Amino acid sequence: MVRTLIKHEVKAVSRSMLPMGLILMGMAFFTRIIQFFESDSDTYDIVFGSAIFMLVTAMVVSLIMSVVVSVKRFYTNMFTGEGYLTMTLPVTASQHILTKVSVAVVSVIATVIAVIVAGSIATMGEVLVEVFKAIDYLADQYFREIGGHGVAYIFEALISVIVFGASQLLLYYACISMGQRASKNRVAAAFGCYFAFYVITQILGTMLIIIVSNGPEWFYNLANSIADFAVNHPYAFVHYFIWAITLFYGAQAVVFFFVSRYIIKNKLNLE
Amino acid sequence: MSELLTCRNLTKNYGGLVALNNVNLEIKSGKIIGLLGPNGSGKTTLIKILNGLLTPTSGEILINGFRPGVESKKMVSYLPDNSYLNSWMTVEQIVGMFSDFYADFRPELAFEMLGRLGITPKSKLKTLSKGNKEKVCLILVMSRNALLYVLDEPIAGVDPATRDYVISTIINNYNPEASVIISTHLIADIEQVLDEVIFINNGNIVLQKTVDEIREENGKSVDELFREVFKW
Repeated sequence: MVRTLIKHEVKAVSRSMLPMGLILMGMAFFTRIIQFFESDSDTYDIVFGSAIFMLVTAMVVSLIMSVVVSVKRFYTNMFTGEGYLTMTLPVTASQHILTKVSVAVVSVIATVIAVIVAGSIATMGEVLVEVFKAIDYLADQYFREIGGHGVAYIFEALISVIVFGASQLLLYYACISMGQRASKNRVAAAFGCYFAFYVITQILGTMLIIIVSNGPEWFYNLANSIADFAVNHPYAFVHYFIWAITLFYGAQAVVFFFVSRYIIKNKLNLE
Repeated sequence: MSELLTCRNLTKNYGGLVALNNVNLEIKSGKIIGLLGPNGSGKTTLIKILNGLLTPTSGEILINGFRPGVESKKMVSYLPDNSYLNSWMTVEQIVGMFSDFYADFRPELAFEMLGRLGITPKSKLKTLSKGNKEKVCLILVMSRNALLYVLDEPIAGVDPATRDYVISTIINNYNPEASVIISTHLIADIEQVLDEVIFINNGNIVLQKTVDEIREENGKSVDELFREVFKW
């Protein structure tokens, strides 16, 4: 059933994102074609400057849209008129949420790739060769310096970024779901939940800093041990650090997932 | 006949407003039941709880022994009282979607009924008239071989010819072993197809009888009895 859900979710998200991708590619090709008519004239500078501006705008809008579309899709598909169909399908709340978040993550990744491809198209030719040369040089330096750890770092960092992205999407989903508990103004209530989460995390962060700066002796000893480990085993420390961040956001994602699941499964009240 | 739907002390409050008040109800299979009551009487609330779209404040509802959830949703075919399909989808895509999710969906029946209405599968929902949209929704719901059909106000806001179409579609296509719950306040139009009626008012079940019992005991039609019970 999850495969079926994903199929329909991909169709729905593609409907919004594919036209944006086509506009992005169109802008990239336009920017590249203009460069064949390069001259010293003011007209060329204005047209080329405008094309670059529009391309960069399309890139930024695409990235923002990929997140906004995914969040809006969760809200409209689950909690508005469409919810009358979605919530009467023989599918569990977990399957709904997992489908939404996985398709959203893939959509954001696909958009990032599209932005990179568009940038490559726009700079195709001498500029792109120079960019590749620079990347090749930096990669060579990077791998010469840290060897096999380099590949693992990139792999671990990518996982970390994906888990972070999923946790943020699940946070939005949880806030939207909590907003549904309000008897009216549910969208405003969802924003209120997000604001409350932000304030609470800031307070907890501040409290943590206070505890650290006035912490007990065992805490200082622990911090010193970690610092010693980082100095003596810097490469291993980076691995542990990235995995710690991944686990932190992974744990957040799990909590947000279960908040949404609980409300959809046990407290649903469609208007 | 076994109990298909059971409500035990079912209550739903919206803040201070009591939408359903300690409702106890049993519905057996193989019947067409009219859920009748004035606007705001609790019909839609009961139907939404049955479909898992609302959470009851207290009490219990069982569909063939299951609480609202994945298992009950496999058995219940539900027509909401509002527009709930994606208007950007084509009729064919929506039929495909129902086929994908409901094992009991009969796409050939859906396409046959659509064909009889002259609705082409490639039409987008947003291009259809309001009446045709409602017919598409009804066709989708009645093309399932469900155990319980729940139709919320299927004949409200449509012309008399469409009402006839809706009623004949229900009669000709429902699974005979199933039950059909039709919520409406337009009683005269559906009275001839009902086996049983449930009167609901202010969240309370005020009457549950077969149509024959009403005629024999009260000497009235359902419409006449309704007007008497709900007289202002």
